Amino acid sequence: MYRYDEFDHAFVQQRVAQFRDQVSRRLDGSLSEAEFKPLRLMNGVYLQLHAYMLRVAIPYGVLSARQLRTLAHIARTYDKGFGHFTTRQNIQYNWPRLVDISAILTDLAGVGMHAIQTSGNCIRNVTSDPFAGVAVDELEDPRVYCEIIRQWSTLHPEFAFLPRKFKIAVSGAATDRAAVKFHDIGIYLRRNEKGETGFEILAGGGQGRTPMVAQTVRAFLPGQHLLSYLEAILRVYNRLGRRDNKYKARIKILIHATGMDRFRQMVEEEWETIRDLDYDLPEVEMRRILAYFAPPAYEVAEAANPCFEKARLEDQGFADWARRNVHDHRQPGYAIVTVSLKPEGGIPGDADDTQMDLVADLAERYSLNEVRVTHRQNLVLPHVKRADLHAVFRALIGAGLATPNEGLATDIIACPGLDYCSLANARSIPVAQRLTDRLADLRLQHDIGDLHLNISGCINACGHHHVGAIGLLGVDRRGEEYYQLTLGGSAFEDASVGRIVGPAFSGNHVVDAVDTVIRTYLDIRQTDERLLDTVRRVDLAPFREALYGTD
Amino acid sequence: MVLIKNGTIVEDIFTRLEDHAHPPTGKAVVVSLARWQSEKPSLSAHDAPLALRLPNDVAVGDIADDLPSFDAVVIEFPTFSDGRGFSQARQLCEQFAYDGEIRATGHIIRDQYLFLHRCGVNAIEVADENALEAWNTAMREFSLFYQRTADNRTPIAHRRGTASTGICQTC
Repeated sequence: MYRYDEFDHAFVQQRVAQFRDQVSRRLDGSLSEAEFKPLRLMNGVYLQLHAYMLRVAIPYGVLSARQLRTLAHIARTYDKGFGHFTTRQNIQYNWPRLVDISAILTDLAGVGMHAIQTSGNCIRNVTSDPFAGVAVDELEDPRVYCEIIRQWSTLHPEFAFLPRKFKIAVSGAATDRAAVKFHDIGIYLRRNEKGETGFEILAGGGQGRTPMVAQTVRAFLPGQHLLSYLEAILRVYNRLGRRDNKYKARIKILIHATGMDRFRQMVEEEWETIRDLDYDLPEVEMRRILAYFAPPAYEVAEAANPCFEKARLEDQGFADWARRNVHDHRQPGYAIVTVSLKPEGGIPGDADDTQMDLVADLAERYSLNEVRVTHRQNLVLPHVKRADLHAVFRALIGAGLATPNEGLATDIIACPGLDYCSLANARSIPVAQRLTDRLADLRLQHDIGDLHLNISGCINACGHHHVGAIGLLGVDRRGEEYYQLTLGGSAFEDASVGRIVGPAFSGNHVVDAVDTVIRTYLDIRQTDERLLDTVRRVDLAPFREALYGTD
Repeated sequence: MVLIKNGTIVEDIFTRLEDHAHPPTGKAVVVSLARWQSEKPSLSAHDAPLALRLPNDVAVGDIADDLPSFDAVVIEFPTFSDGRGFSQARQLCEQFAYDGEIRATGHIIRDQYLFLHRCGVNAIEVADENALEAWNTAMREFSLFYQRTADNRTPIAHRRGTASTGICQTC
């Protein structure tokens, strides 16, 4: 993985010093809250319902064991002992005191981390495939380009005051595990007919109150032009994106208004004028960054492991876990392990300090020091030898981290909702907890199969409800929490936006409504059909009838 | 309102010409875009420095041919959170190689000074003449930069080529 050199390190120290000065100006009253707001927002500090909230960047979801241990230390020392992993592969702390934030940033800087651009109308933390570099279906490791984008976008002077926030995701695999088509810019690694690596560049995806699937701007961009092309897109957006209404300010609205053909033409014209201005990285720097992502020193191991097979036969819990949470690795004898942060009755994405320390220990001992954060709010140990899987499972189970539910109905995405968030209309967490209680039976979950169930507490859609096969959106109806139910969303390469089935359900009825949808699916599905496929085949009518009756 | 250039307060030679006023002989003036467009020939013949006020929703390409007529281009920031002027400044000096004064006016905050300078702005109008030191401090908060822009600051990627690139021992 990438490691800071002296330049990266000195840069982050300068940012910490700058923010320390801004906080002290706020604390001594020389900055009003109104003046401080844009400054703190550029460094991930929000003012929420009960307290300040700090969002820490985890670039493209990659952490070292040491970095994760520092995140645990921060939870323990400055917060209430836990942190919340987000759908943007970041972590947020819900209870830091403003006076402690400079100290937190200093601790983060010590391990090459920061909170730069985790909020504000700027280019946010770039996200990627949590299986990057180890997935069997991968063309090339996207982390190289993520790191290039991370550096380029960090305090970019032209794009710090965009019309609205701006999110970029990169994937190099056939299966899209990064929701690329729901980003302002989505990037897929591609090869041309000469075998050269380049990019398919998409733009205009997003969720929020106007969900849209990104469209292709350029089918193949040669690899060396990445940054100049991104500059061209960003410049067109910065100049022409709407600024009169924050709900219409994302690039998707601009592209919708101009049409993709006109947008593409403007981007290409802009790019023609800047492509030779030396914005792109020198070849030597590309190679330097590439070298950090060379495959680690794997041990030679047999692809099939007798210990693993034996444990699977003897330990049913392990077999269940291996069935869902263990994935093939490109290196023979190794596996990718998903550490579920979705225990029955738990808060999706939350981990306490001892859990983070444990995962860091396991990463050190069994996963070549590396951990990933997924956009579905779980953790990943990316390099576990098959022979070690049972030991890893046993360590996780003791800490409540071995729920065998990856990709199943209880692997729910949920935003913090009205329990924390000042934007929310309704609570998300208690609904997620009640649903995991209702759906806890693992045999039932296996019967249901792959299902993404996502919950947002408001139309901003941080809980990705639009792209859940089942989505729940919290709405406020005369002071009461209601939930709108959507069906048919997908964040994968076959991206689609879920559609509203009918009138919203009260908090008391929403769990029953989800149950009804699932039972309807079980009744009418065809062989090997996921719930998403059934919805696509039969449309909403059978579900509507089951939920609301025939009239 | 004072003008800061090169880290010091300097005299602002330009006065703003109201749209119906006659340009005073021998005096440097700033004209609006509308005035410029309707009176190009006479304003081009003005016998003192001429500057253009550029609204931030105008494409720089639309005035590119006229740039040799101006000693300064004044970019308007209606509010500090409206970042269109950053793109205009960069386009002026990078795409159109404009080498006159690029001035920012309106609502800007000191925490933007370095960004403005990196984008090619070389003069700023600020309200508080006692805040010079604070603006200059803000300009010095960073010495390391990841992007190549119009300024002469060498990006980190290019410095790496010449300096040791050993992994930092402190992290």
